[in-house]
Amino acid sequence: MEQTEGRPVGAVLVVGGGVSGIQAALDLADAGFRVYLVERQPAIGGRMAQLDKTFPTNDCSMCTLAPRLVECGRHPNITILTCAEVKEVTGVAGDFTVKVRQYARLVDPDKCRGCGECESVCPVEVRDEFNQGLNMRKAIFRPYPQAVPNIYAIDINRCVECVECAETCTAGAIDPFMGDREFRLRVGALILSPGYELFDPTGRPEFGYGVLPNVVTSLEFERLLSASGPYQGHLVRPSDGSVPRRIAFVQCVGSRDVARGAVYCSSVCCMHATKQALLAMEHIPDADVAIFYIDLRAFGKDFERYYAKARESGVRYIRCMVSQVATVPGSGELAIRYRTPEGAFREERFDMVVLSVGLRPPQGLAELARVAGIELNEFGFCKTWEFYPNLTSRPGVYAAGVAVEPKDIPETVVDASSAAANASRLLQAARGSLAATKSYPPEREVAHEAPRIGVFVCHCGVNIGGVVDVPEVARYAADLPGVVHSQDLLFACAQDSISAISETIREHNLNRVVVASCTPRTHAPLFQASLREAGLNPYLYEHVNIREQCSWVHRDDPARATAKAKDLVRMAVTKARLLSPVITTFLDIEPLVLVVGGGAAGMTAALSVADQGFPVCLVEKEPVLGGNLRHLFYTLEGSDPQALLYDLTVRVEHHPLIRVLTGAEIVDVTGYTGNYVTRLRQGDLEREIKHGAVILATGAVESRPREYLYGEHPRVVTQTEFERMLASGRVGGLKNVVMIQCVGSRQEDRPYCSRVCCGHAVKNALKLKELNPGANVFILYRDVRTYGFKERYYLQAREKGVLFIRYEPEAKPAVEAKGERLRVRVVEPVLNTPLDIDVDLVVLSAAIEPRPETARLAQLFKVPLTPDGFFAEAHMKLRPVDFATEGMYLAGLGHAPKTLGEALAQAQAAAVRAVGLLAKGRLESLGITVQVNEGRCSGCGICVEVCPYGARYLDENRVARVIAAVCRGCGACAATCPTGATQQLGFEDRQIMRMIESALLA
Amino acid sequence: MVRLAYYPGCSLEATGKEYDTSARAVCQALGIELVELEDWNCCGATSAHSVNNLLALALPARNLALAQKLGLDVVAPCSACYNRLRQAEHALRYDRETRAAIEEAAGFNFLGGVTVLSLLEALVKRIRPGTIADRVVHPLQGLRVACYYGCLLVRPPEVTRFDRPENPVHLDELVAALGAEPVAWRGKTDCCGASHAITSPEVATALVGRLLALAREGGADALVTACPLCQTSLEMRRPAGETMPTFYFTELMGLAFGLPGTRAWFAKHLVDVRPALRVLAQTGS
Amino acid sequence: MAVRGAVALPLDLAWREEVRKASGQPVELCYQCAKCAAGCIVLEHADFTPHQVLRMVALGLRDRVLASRAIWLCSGCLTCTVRCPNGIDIARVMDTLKEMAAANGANGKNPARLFHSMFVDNIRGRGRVNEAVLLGRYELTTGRIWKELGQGLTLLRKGKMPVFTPGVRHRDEVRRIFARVRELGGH
Repeated sequence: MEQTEGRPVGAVLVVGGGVSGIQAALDLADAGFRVYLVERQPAIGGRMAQLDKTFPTNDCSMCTLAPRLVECGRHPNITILTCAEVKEVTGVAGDFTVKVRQYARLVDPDKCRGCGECESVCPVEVRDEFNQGLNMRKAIFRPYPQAVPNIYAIDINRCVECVECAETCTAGAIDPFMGDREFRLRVGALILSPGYELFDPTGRPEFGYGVLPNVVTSLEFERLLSASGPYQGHLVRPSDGSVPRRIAFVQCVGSRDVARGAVYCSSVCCMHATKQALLAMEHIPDADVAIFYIDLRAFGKDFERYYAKARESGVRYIRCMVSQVATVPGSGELAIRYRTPEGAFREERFDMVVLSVGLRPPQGLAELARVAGIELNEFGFCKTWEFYPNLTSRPGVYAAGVAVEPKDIPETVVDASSAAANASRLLQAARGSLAATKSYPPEREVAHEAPRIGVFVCHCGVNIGGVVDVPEVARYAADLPGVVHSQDLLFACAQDSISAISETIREHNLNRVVVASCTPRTHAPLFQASLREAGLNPYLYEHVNIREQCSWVHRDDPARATAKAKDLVRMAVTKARLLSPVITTFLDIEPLVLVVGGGAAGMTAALSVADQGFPVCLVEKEPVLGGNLRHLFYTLEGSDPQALLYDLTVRVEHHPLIRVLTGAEIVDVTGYTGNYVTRLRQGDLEREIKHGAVILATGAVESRPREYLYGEHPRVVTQTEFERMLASGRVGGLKNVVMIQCVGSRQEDRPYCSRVCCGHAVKNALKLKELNPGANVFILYRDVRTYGFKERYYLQAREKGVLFIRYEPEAKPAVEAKGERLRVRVVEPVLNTPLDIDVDLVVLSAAIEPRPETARLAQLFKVPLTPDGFFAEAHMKLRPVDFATEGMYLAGLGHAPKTLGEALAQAQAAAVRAVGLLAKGRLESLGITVQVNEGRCSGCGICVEVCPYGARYLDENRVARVIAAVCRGCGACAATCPTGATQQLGFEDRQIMRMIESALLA
Repeated sequence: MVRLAYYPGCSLEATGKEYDTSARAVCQALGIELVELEDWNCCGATSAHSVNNLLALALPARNLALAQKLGLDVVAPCSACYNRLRQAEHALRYDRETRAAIEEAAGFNFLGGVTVLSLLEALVKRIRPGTIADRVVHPLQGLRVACYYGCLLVRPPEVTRFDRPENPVHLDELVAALGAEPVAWRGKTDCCGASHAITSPEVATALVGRLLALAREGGADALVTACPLCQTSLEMRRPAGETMPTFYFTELMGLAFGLPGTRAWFAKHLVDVRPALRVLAQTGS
Repeated sequence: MAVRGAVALPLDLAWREEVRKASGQPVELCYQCAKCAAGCIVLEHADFTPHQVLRMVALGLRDRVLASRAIWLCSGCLTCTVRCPNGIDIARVMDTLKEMAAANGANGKNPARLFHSMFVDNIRGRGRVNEAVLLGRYELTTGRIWKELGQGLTLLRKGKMPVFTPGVRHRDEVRRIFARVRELGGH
């Protein structure tokens, strides 16, 4: 493990301001480190900012990302350095000096208010790279509307120095004489997450990109779909602006392409295309969408369901690579010839073709690697180690995100958190030494003032403003009783808008604020913070959601959507008049993390937390540590899992901050965030553990197949059993081995992909070939899902002569006993002919399923499960290791099937999240907790029964009490209280009643 | 003055006679001196590589040896010859093992000085840009042609070094310089099936029929090609009722340059070219 | 386009290795994306598509491949070769299979095979090909002469089929090439 000499520097430099860099920065900042976030572009946000929606939930990408962007921009421990590049890294782990060059932006960031006047007068038009060049921007520009920092920059290569902008700028922010700046930063560690580039499809000229205007890349298509895109979210053909009714997607353009030097799979494109197909059908209901693919790789959590949904919605999946996209002269139509599922060949015409272009290492990574002194791998991505996620060849320099390997957003977020955990561990001794604390001005006393309400109505670009008449709503609000200020904002959540709200509060001496925008779930905290900055109690705030509740659901009736928005605003203003300040309470956090599950993930999480300086109690129900790791003997990449098992076990057992309890079963969990009490039984002994946070790393198991003669014939085994045979060397006699994939996966009772089996089969096949080169291996598969760099091992297996034979789920292989041996019959789909294979061994790739006790633990810890019985995280994309309840985290196979390396990264990620909580030291209660009018309480105890968080109890006098820090404000008790003694702050009966009256007043 | 060794190939002595005569005439008109290789032999065409790979490289290599002796780059008008000669050159340059075998079989040492050119390439890259347009006296105004590159001129691109192998434009630019209108169409590099013209005429006819239909879809009056095998196949194996002619690009150059002898070249076509050229009379060209 | 009847495996899996060596092409890398087939111009006329041929090679279905019409129908247009994501020169594989079929005596009646061997014989004899002589001989052998008579006469009349064309003067040099290729393990 990496160590530092002497006391390290408590700061970290993060390269790359995409979702990966943002996550790493936030985790480290929360964990008490100073962070410099270095981004080459004029704003952070990266690729995710360019996405319209994200799979498999179809969440608006910008809507989930924007709060993170703003949080990064506001975090007292984070300094964002845009237009900047790392030029030199000297020093050692724990104490680096980094030379950063910041290119002249020619706009003073302290003066620019992002008003955009400069943009309107700039005469120079430049292709807009944020929209993939599909439209034009000006030479002075802001990359996208929600950009952080939300200020302009001048494209120095395009600027004609007409100084129109400087003359227009009332803030005097334009500085034509600004020069590049070079400076040095002292940091203890670096995290490199510079993201990726897309494959240039002109490298595959047969697809016509660059020649045929209606052939676009997947990212261009994403921009076409996006409301902030070149056509404001209207999906049209670039050639003539017409609506494309027939759309084809071509997969693997520049991926899995040995001939173009990209052996690997880009991991995201299959689902990306599926998402875009579904969105296209939303935009154009009668659209006919076809996806041409080789293997459909829906391997992630809930992906298989999403894929099924797409097929049910009518997306045509055609298993055939496209040879050529040709234009039909005069029509703009595009012709594609392909093999039909029946085996015939036909030509079909499309209006638009989308090339699912592969992911390549980012431009300049080679230079960055040289400067940072790290090695790259054979594909030009950052070289890291399977069992030591994020570690590069230089101690103290970590890599994360797609720059390490192609991966989707949740895995990128996990990887980034994992990198943060590594840095936090390395710099543990300096935690808090350079951290700043956020201080707000003292709260103004408003209780005796008459209501002075400010209303802010958001356009959300065209998301709201395209349907609802936003200025009209703002005008309407201005005349409501108590309102002294009302205005509309293009993007209320943009950083400049948020500061503007603070300023307006001060300027007009407001004492209540109403924002009408999108969902309060993500955005209310942002606006509440601007109240605090203006010296107002944050609970003097009311939020109206006029996006989901007006513009989105009444898209085709703008007039009534506007009327409804007015109603909602009026109701909110009515309620706002009755708001009173809420004084939150604080609760100390028990500084110990309970880790449940002593497998690879659990041990890694425990070690990471402990190395970051917090005590851990590691609970394992088996008498020994190790979990599934005990049954792994090889990995695809050639690492030794048994050495890892030994290493982890020894370190866990000897760590002074880790207490290991094996053979222990959890019987009861009480308490709440920051202060849990878990009771467990260890043999006859009962123990009570007090802990502030918990990481559930309870794993999953290989299922027991119920078909293919498993359990009936001794020569039918699972992959895990086969791996044990390989490890013991008892495979010399094997001549012919058949492996059957998807045994128990991707079927009705288990409608998910088990993700690891294709890699597992390839791994074992290669091992067998190594031990016994004469053996013939046949792998019967449905789709080969060797995503990312695993594809190279699929390639290697083919090189070694492993024969891959696809089967259709409707015609599963048949296994028949022939004495000691077996015969497998499978219909070979390419030749459409049955093959009989006489074999010595049948190996089944059995599904991964949740452990039987998962459901019980979920109940004990009150955390949700997915329909498949795995733990359900707080958010599929951006909170992959958090449960919705703060203080509860998850890692490993209990979350979903994954490889060992992925589980280790997730364990470290969960660890840094828990450390981020514990490092706070104390918890603040929510503002929407309940209060009890003791005089009215009858002591019936119904509230105690209905509270899902254990925040209610009856005291010795049978009066119901509330633990404020635990109350999540769900309102269940307030709703059931028969006497009205329980009132929820911000949702008091009188407030709600007046709102209802106001609603009926229309 | 540009001097090049000239490798006519067997077809230009027979079915592609008018390509040979028009190519020589056009080169002379543009100041390119062609020196026919003394005692050249057949390149093996589409057959030798179906029989033996080394033979298919050694046969053209003997011609490279002849060019090497002359000290000139060699130009091959026929796409098949060009491709075979170029394949041999490529193997000699980049494949050490095969080079040894070829040199052994063909009995010479490749010194690396000889480059193989297609006639199209020579006219595009070896003379001053604009020379062709300057030489035009009768612009081919109104003639809409589908430029047909076929397979062997462009593939494989690492051997032919052809720019934009999926959407080549050299021929289009050339006919445009002659005043004709190159149409956009999607058969530019599809195979015409010439290698099946003798052995599976029905396959050849089907492929020719498809190409002619695509050319018509693009609005062309005629095809233009740089290959005698394609030209013969396109005219000889056309489906019944098809009347679209296929010109050698050198014929159109001769026409636009006002060279004598065009009538004799056109007379050799298996399709009457006059209807396609009638548009020129109308526009006064 | 299907192989009839059940096939019992394992078959001659070593044959794939033979094809790989002889063609110099990584045939085992094929992952059956069918891109070659989707772009193949003679597909409709063949009994197997290129990706099926590769699959049969992978499965060791040697006799069926060598007896197929598909390998002879490949016109060597290289479209598949240029676009194959696994970098397999499929046209070269087809040529190799033609060589193997010829050596093996399989599919002896295939007209393409006959034509190619007559063509090469013509070169061996004269150093150059005389199209009139070659075509005449071929059409006579295959008995198609009457069918093609009209076209042939047109070509003769147009002066496109000269019966007397010069051969190579140094025929010994050409013959030596044939001889050396044979020595080097070729034809």
